[in-house]
Amino acid sequence: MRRRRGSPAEGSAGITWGLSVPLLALFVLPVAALISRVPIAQAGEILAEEPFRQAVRLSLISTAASVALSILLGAPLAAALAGSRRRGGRPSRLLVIIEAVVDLPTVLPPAVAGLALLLAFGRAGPIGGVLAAAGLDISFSLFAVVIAQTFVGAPLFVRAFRAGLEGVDADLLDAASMDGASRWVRLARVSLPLAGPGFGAGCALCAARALGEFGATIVFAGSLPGVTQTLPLSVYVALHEDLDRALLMGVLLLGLAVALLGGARLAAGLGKGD
Amino acid sequence: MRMNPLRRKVVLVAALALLMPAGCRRGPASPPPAPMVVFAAASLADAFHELNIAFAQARPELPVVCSFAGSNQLVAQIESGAPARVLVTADEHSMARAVQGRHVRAEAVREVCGNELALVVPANNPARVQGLSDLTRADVRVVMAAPAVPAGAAAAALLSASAAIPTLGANFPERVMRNVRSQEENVRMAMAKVELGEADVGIVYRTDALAAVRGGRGAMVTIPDALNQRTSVRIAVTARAEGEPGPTAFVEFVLSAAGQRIMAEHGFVVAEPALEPATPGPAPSPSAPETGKPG
Repeated sequence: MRRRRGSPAEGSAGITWGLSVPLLALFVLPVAALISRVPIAQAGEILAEEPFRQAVRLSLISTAASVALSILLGAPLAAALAGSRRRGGRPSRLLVIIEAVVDLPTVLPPAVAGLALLLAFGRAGPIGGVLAAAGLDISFSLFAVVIAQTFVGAPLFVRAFRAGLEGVDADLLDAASMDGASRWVRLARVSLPLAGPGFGAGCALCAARALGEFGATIVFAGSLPGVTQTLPLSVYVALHEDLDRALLMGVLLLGLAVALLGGARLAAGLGKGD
Repeated sequence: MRMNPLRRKVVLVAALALLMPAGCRRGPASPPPAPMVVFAAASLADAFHELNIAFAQARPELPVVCSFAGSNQLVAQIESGAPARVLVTADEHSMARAVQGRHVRAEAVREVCGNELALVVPANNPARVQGLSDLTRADVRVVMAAPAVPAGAAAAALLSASAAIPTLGANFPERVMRNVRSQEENVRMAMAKVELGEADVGIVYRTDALAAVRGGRGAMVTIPDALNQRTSVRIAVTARAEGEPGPTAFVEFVLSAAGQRIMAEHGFVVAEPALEPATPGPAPSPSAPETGKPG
């Protein structure tokens, strides 16, 4: 049977690329429309406004914290998952369930995620109630924003970092252990350096996702300028009031997202060289 | 010679694509009427659900579909071309914005009813909020609608008016704002936070608080008449729908005795029968009973 996928025949390549144009156009045209409508003239004035700067500051701080939290909590998980498949044979049912759990935040609609977080970590919830009794007030705070962003961003980090770890050639690890390297040394000297690009890509994807999070944030953390109103929330508010401000903030978010995704591609590409 | 299998598939798909519209074209029978889109403020949801049912019984040939959101969001959507036939805003400022954008003719605007503010607390009132002065207590979490939304603007005006009351203490508005934890996109989201127990008190419409009381999901704390802010619910057929019989009939129904009775039942402040176009006139007399006491 002839395998047609990836066929080098030039005719079919032309057709498939041709059929790809509509989707690419769908991606590009709205973004181009957004950029074309940016009010360059008012840009300076709007960028200096205090609410705008507050939103930028909150977004950057919360995103950085979310990425850090994702790395802290996600790296062990990625390592555990990477090791589990390496042993070969059929994955256990528990492993399949855990993998599904890691994918869960990604498929949950953001507003539903926010509601779920509120019910769990809110004052009236099981976990939030305990924390509130201990004096730790989570909801309506920047901490809630970070939790919401980590909820949606961490799965992306785990997935990318795990892929990076699994990409490390098993033979290298075997050679290292035959030379007497302990598990930790193998991790530090072999796995981590080689999985670096996967790590970098995971961080960038997590950051881009956390930066853009809206639904979970607004439902769980609420929306208060200077406290919880991140850039995406500000864009939403501005959308109904001042279109120019919304456009400018939108383009800024777009630029940040593109930079982060570019960084992800760069990081992922770095490992392929050797 | 056989055609390249890939080429054959492409030709097949293209042929199907061309034939599909022909198969989908409707026959000579007239299609069912498209429902008329009504944009209504979030605070009107309960009342308008009931209104729609009554209207459907009165005029079954005019199906209506309602979209509820903050008034400012509705106006923004209309400004972007949303095909709403009727616009119902929670205050005159939002309607004025629609008029200014020429999406609604000033002459088409009518006043439906009035509304005013109240405090809503969770059913068991855990923070024991009894009145306005409790809003400044250290442990009380307050939510309100965003200032861009009519309910939020009215709440801000309420706080400003309260600054003049000596018994509430100095800097009352600022002290309350320090306890505000979130400015929600519409008043119903603020209600939800209170109902979930996340906030201790919400500054919402009296109609929202009444709805919570009736549903057993909350309790209401009244605001003194002298300070309370009266908002005016406005309705208009949009400019693009002018002359259409359906939207006009809907507006007339809302303003009719039957429609007004439904609004009054939900706690809105309705005027006496003969209704004038929306000019700043005398305040309508309240006819809705007060129910619900603080928990």
